[in-house]
Amino acid sequence: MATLQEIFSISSAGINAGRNTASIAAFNIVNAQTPGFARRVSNLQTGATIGMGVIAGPAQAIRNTILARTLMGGQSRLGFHDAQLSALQVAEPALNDLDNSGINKALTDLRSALDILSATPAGTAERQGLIGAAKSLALTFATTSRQLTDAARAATDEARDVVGDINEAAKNVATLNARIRTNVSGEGDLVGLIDQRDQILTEMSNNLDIQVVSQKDGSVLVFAAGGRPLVTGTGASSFEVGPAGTPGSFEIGVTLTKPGGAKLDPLAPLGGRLGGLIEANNGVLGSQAARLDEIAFSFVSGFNTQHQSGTTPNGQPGGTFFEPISTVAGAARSIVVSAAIVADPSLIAGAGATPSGSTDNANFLALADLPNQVGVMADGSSIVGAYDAMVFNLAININNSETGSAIETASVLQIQTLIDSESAVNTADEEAKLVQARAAFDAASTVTTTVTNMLDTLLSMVG
Amino acid sequence: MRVSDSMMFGSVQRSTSGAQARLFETAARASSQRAIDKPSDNPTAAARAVRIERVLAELDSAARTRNTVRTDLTVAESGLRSGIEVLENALELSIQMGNDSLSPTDRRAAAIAVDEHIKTLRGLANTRMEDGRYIYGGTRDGSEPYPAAGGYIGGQSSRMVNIAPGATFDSAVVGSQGFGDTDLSFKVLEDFATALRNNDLAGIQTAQEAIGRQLDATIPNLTGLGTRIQALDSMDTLAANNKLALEIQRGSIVDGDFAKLISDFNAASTAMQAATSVGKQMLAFAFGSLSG
Repeated sequence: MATLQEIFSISSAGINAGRNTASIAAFNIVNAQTPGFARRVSNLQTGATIGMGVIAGPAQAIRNTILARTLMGGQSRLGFHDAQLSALQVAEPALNDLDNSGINKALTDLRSALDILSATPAGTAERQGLIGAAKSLALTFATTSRQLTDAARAATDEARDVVGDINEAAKNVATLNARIRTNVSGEGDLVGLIDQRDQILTEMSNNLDIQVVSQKDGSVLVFAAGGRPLVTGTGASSFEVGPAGTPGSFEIGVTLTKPGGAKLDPLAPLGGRLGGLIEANNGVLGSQAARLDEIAFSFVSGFNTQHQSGTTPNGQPGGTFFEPISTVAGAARSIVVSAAIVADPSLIAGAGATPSGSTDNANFLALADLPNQVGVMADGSSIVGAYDAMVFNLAININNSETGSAIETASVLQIQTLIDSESAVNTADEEAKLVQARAAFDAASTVTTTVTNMLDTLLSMVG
Repeated sequence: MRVSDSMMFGSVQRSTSGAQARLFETAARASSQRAIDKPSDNPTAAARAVRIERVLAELDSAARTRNTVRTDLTVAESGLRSGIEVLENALELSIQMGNDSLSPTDRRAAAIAVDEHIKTLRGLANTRMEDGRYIYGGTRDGSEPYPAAGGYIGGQSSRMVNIAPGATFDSAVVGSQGFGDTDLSFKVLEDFATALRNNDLAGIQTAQEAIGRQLDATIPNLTGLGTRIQALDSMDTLAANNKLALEIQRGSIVDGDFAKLISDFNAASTAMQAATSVGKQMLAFAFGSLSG
């Protein structure tokens, strides 16, 4: 049987436990919408002897490390597809021929102008029409090239921004590691610091595929790019975006600088938004812009060669129809109709090599067929075929990114739901806990009051 | 499963934003009435649509070419028909002038008429198009194919043009398809005029036979030109059918089924209303106790 003193002590512990539970419930309620917040539960422990009161230990955060790590993987894949998708979508209008504009339309118009000329080879207006169609094609190539280059540049700029975010996050994780290490045995705001670090890591995983290794001292090691150290204890490495591949190409790459200054190259694809942007830039946008240059170069070379094999109405061999382009790089922006032809359309060589007359049209027919001719491109394909493949390639890549994004969105949602189910706050639950804590608090107070009254009575009887 | 506030908020947010996105998409499709707006909507279908568009453009271009060629051939046919009439008139005159009762004066007067026939025939054989081309000049149509100096100096080669995707057609009218690849038509009339002036009955008889032979040689050319025009007309029909089929095919790929688009839009609109209503109720149930 407990003494009055013991009853007093037990009720006092009960009041303390009720206050603690109410305090944690209130804390959970106010943080219900705080991103990354893991709900706390009161940690009530038995006192020295069972039945002799309760001790309120430090609050515990409800976390599931396995789910948290799984979420990071999902976030990384989602970030990859989302970033790639948004980068590629910027380029799609440049190659969208469904609105009856763009290179396909310009090539068709050129063919149409040549078809018209083949029926009226000597027509002056028709010759001007061909020059106009050729100028329009040149402008369309240049505009499309600029749009693709702009899209690649936008992806590069975005990659730089993402790298800035990653570097900042790595620094913050290193700082939090240091604070957690010093707090690991004490009370402080350790749980909040871990929440904060986990939230940063989850956000970082959307930008970069990371592997997190927990240490006994509470800190974490973060690795990326195939095992390269991003955060080692309290030190953070930093990424840097720079040009890669052959000089003049659109390719970009990253290097990792360790806290000591040593530079490392990635050992594996980066994943996350950064990986998606680099892949979009290097794998699609850059190569698309380069491919457009190849198409433009092959077209101009092929057209000029065919034109030179023809004969003008005056019986002279044809010259170059377009100003010759010496290099593939930048060809799409360098197409210019020969100044001589613009000045004198009679220099257009529509007749064959051995003309049957002044209005022989053999070369007009050959020129009209050139974009469809297999073998004009260096790889053996036709101009139209190469362009179609380019458009299809971009569309398929966008499609794949959309599919990947949809799959990962669903996956991340499911994992997040599982995490929320365990770690997030239910305000109704917390409200019930508040009511429960208040009842316990009231009861313990009543006990204290009763014991106090009993003591007072005893003292007055003795007195 | 334990249900947290963020799960409820998230669920409401996702269902309303998802319904909103779907509503926006169906509204955009219903207003544009297109099933595909960009290649990534359906890469394979978009590639097909662009290929069809290319063939349609070729068909349009070929239709313009057919019209140009048809005009040329129609002018050539008309000129040749008039030329044949001139020869027929000359033949009739030769029969009349072979009559013994006519005097040398009559024949000299007839010779003047024949001179006019020659002029008319040469003018017809050197017919020019509105852009200056000599229609019977073949691929050498920059100068008179039947010069007064004699002979035929037009081109003899064909000039192929595209009259349909993958189909070429000879657009040139060379001498052998018109007034002959020599100047025989004029020569027989000149010989006839000479015979008339010389009151040479035997010569008139010879000229009469020569004109008859020339007519026999020329009339089939009229049929030839007519056949070519007919071929173009047939191609018009074929191309129109082809174009219609391709347009239907393109429409089935690119254009949306309006009834389906409207139905989709209505369904999305209903889903949006339902999501909003359910969301409100969920939040009221979940947080009503706190606010109350």
